Amino acid sequence: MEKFRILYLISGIIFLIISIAGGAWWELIGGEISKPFLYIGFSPFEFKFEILGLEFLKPPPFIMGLFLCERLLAIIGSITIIAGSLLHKKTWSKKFFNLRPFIMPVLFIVLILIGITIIISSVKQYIPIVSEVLPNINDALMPYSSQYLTINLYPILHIDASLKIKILSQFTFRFWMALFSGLLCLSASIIRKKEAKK
Amino acid sequence: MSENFIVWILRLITIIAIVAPLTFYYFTSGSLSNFIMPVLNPPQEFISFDPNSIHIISINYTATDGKYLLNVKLYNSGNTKVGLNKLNARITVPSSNIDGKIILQAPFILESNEEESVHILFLLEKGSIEELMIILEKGSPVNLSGNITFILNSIEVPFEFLINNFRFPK
Repeated sequence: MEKFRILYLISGIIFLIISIAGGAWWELIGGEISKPFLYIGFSPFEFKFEILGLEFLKPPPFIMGLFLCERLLAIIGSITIIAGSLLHKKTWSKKFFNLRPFIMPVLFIVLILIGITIIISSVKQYIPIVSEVLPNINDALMPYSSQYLTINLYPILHIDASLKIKILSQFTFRFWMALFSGLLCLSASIIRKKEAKK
Repeated sequence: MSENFIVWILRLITIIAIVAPLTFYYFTSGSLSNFIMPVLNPPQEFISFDPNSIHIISINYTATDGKYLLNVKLYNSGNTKVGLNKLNARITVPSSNIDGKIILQAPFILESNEEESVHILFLLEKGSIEELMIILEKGSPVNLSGNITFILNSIEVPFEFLINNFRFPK
């Protein structure tokens, strides 16, 4: 079996497992990790928003449908990659290769970073008190930046007081595995194109 | 099998994977508004919790070598179980040289319609207790800062706090 097919096979298997397993790719945890009072988990396949361990926001069926689409496309993409890498004697097997394992995590990072920036600035623009009450909300939500969300109580309670809540915003192991699988897929694609030119 | 056939099969499967879930969710949601609107479920703990439901029944203290053990009796008239798991704070009085620490001796949970004795250690590091009592009786402002872990039903909410110019109720 050619080198690029082995890379495609590993990439496809990893991405298939991740797609089937589901779970969050990015998460925001407020409080202790073992017992968070606030939890937001997001991936191309699901969204969870819990406060005090109970579901606070249930995504609309439209978004649930999109999540299911994403998952099916990821599963189909992985299966075709695996099939393409195993059917090396068939000339049409190369049509099965795709870059879905690479595109999905990269688009996800872009979506998270742009999403946080746009959503927060729109909220601050339309509800100006938010920037007074939560002065570091951008930093707190950005992955791996501030570990505290500051709540300034003066604008709401007229007390010269502030609270600092421990916040953890991070990409999960599932995301890093998806990205790893994507990079394997990209490497396989580059090697395949180089070999095709020879 | 021709390449074209494979390509068309893959395209067809992709289209089905996009259309089928959206169609399924649209028809199970019942209406267009249900299809696009998210559902909010604010936790009842937050809605039903009223800070005024916690009442101080009595405060007693015993003093030894600048350490004061406060025995605060609290009553919860609300429906939400509340408590403290940790309290480690510093109290300073800007108008004088008073500086001290407040430490919760043991975690406690106040069940609904129950009372509980809470033991808090107050360590006076600068100034005298008489001076502090006069300041508190006058309602002079104090600064409070520290860490606290608040319990609301079964969930713990840890945070750091900083309160400037706080006046204890007379």
